[in-house]
Amino acid sequence: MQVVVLENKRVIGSYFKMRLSYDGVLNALPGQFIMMKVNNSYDPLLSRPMSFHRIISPNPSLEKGGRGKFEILYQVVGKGTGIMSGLKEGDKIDILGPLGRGFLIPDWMDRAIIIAGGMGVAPMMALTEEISRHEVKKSKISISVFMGVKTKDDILCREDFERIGAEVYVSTEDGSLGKKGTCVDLLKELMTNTPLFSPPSEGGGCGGAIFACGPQGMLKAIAGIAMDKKILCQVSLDKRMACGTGACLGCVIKVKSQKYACVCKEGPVFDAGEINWEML
Amino acid sequence: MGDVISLSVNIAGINLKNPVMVASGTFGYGEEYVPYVDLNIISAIVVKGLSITPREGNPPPRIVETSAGMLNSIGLQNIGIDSFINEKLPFLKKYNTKVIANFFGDSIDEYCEVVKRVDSVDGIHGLEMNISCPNKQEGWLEFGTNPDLTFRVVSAVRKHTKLPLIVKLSPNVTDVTIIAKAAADAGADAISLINTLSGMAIDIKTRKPKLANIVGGLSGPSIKPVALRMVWQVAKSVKLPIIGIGGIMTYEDALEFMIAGASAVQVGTANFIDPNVSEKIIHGIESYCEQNGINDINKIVGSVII
Ligand SMILES: Cc1cc2nc3c(=O)[nH]c(=O)nc-3n(C[C@H](O)[C@H](O)[C@H](O)COP(=O)(O)OP(=O)(O)OC[C@H]3O[C@@H](n4cnc5c(N)ncnc54)[C@H](O)[C@@H]3O)c2cc1C
Ligand SMILES: Cc1cc2nc3c(=O)[nH]c(=O)nc-3n(C[C@H](O)[C@H](O)[C@H](O)COP(=O)(O)O)c2cc1C
Ligand code: FES
Repeated sequence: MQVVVLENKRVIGSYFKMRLSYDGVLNALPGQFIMMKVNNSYDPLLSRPMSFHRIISPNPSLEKGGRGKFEILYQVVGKGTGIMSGLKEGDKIDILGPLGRGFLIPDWMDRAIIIAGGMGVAPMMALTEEISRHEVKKSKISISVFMGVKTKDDILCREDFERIGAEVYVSTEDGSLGKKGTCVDLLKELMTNTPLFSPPSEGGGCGGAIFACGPQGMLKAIAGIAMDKKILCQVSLDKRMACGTGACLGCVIKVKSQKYACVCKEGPVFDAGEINWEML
Repeated sequence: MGDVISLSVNIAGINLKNPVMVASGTFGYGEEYVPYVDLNIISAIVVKGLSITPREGNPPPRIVETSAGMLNSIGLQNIGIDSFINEKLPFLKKYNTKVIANFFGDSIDEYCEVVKRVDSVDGIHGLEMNISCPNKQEGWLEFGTNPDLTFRVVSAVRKHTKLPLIVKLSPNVTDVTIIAKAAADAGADAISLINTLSGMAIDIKTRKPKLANIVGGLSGPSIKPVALRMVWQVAKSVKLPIIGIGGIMTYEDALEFMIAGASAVQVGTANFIDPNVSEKIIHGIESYCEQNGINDINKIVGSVII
C-alpha cells in the first residue's frame, strides 16, 4: 500500500521520527512492523523493516473522512535510513504491512516491565500506549519502562512514556545519566528490591510480565533472568530481511524445537522460552 | 486495435493464461502472499524447491543486499515433498493458477524418489528440476555444471514421470548451451534459466564473509544482462521452449527475455519488493502488445533482430 509522509523530523542526533498516513484500515498491533521501500531505485533494492512506533486511529473516524496514521522512529545507520531521513511532507512511499506477530498482552497482567535497549525503544511506545488503555480488575496496569543507552544524548521518548503514566528508569553505559550500566542491570536491581512474578498458568491471579526489544546480547540476558524466575517474557528480534512475509526464509533463528523459524512471520515477537538462545 | 490480445502460452503442454510465473524460492508455497496478491492472476506458481525429506537449510545470516541485487544462502530449506502434498497443495488447488513443483536431490536416486512421489498427484501441473545441486555420490560436483551428470540425472528422472519436465539451468558454467543440449537429449520438455550466480560479500570491519555459508547465490536486477545473454544463447541452440529468469523487475525486462527467445518468464527477487509485481508486468505486456499491434504474445518470442 502507499502511504503519505505527514512529517519527518530529526529528534536528536541521528534519530528521526516520521509520521505517515494511509487510506483505509491497517489493523496494526504493537510489535508488528512494515517493510518500507525507501525510494523507487534498485539501490537500495530491498525494503527496510521498521516497527510501528505509534499507531494512531483515524480522528475523525474513518466514516467521517478521517485517515489512519502511524509513526516510525528510526536511526540513520546506512543508505536506506539515510534516504528515509530526506523524505519530505507529501512524499509517497510504498510499504507492506502490518507484518509479523506482535506483543500479546496477558489478561492477568497488572504490572508491565518494558525494557528497551538503544533503538529497541521504537516499538515500545506503541506497546506502552496499548497497555495503558487496558485495565485489569478495573484498575490501571502499572508500567515501568527501563531504557538502556550508550550515553544521555541517546535517550528517546522519555517524556512521552511519562505522559502516558509509565515510570521511566534510565541506564547509560558511560554513566552520564541514571544508572551506569545497561538495562539488564536495571532489571536485576528491580528483581532484588521488589519481586516480580507471573501467575501460574492454572492458578489464576494477577502478576507481572516483561517485554523487551534491543540488542541480542541484552535480550539473551533478560530472557535468562525471566525464565529463571518463571516470569512471562516476550522479546522482539531484529534480523536482516528481504521479503518480510515468510517467503524467502532469509531471516531465520533457531527455536527450541531445533527448527529454524522466520523472524518476520513467526516473530518478530517471540516468547523468550521459544528461542534457542545458545544458537542465536 | 480493440482486438482481443492473446497472452496465453503453452510450455511443454502446460497451458498458461499469460507468460508470467513466479520463481521458486521467492514466493514460498503461495500462501505467504495471499494477503497481498490475487494468486489467480499469476499463470503459474513455481513452489520452493522440494526434496524427498525436509531440509533444515543453512545457518544464518542467509541474506545480504548487494548493489542492485542480493545474495542468498538459504540452503534449500523446505518441508519435504510429503508435507507439501498434504499441507500446502490442497490450498493452492483452490486457485486458478498452475502449480509447478520445483525439486532437487543429493543423488540421482533422490531426484527420482521425489518424482515418483508426485507423478500421480492431482493438482501438480508440471515439474521444474533444479540441477544446481551437488551430487554427494560423486565428489559433490554440481549436476548442472557437467553435461554427463546433467544427462544422467535428467534421463533417470524422465523415466519416472509423464508430467511436463522443465530443467532449470545453473549459470555457473563455461558454456550453458552444452548443458542445455544434454538436458534436451535426456528428454527435458522445457528449459528454464537462470538460477542464481555464485557470489560473495565481505564485511570490511570484521573481515568476515557476510553470509555464514561464505558464498551464496546472486539474484535481482544486477544479474539480468547475464541471464538475458544465456537465454538468447540457449534459445538458439535447443528446440525446446525456454523460460527466462533473472532480474526481471518490469514488463520491459520480461519483454527483453521473450524477444531473446523465452516463451515465458519467471519473476523472482522482485516479489520481495513488490508482491504485486507480476500483475503489473502482465498488464504492461498487454499494453505493449496493444500499442504495437501484436495480437498474440507468441509472435514476439525469439523476434530479436540481429
Ligand atoms: C522487525 C524489525 C523492525 C525494525 N524496526 C526498526 C525501527 O523501528 N527503527 C529503526 O531505526 N530500525 C529498525 N529496524 C532495523 C532497520 O531495519 C535497519 O537499521 C535498517 O534496515 C538499516 O538500513 P540501512 O539501509 O540504513 O543500513 P544498511 O546500509 O543496510 O546497513 C548499515 C549498517 O546497519 C547494519 N544493519 C542493516 N540492517 C540491519 C538490521 N536489520 N539489524 C541490525 N543491523 C542492521 C549493517 O550491518 C550495517 O552495519 C528494524 C529491524 C527489524 C528486523
Ligand atoms: C531467496 C531465494 C531462494 C531461492 N530458492 C530457490 C529454490 O529453492 N530452487 C530454485 O530452483 N531456485 C531458487 N532460487 C532462484 C530463483 O528461482 C531465480 O532463479 C533467481 O533468483 C534469479 O531470478 P531473480 O533475479 O528474478 O530473483 C531462489 C532465489 C532466491 C532469491
Ligand atoms: S524476510 Fe523473507 S522469510 Fe523473513
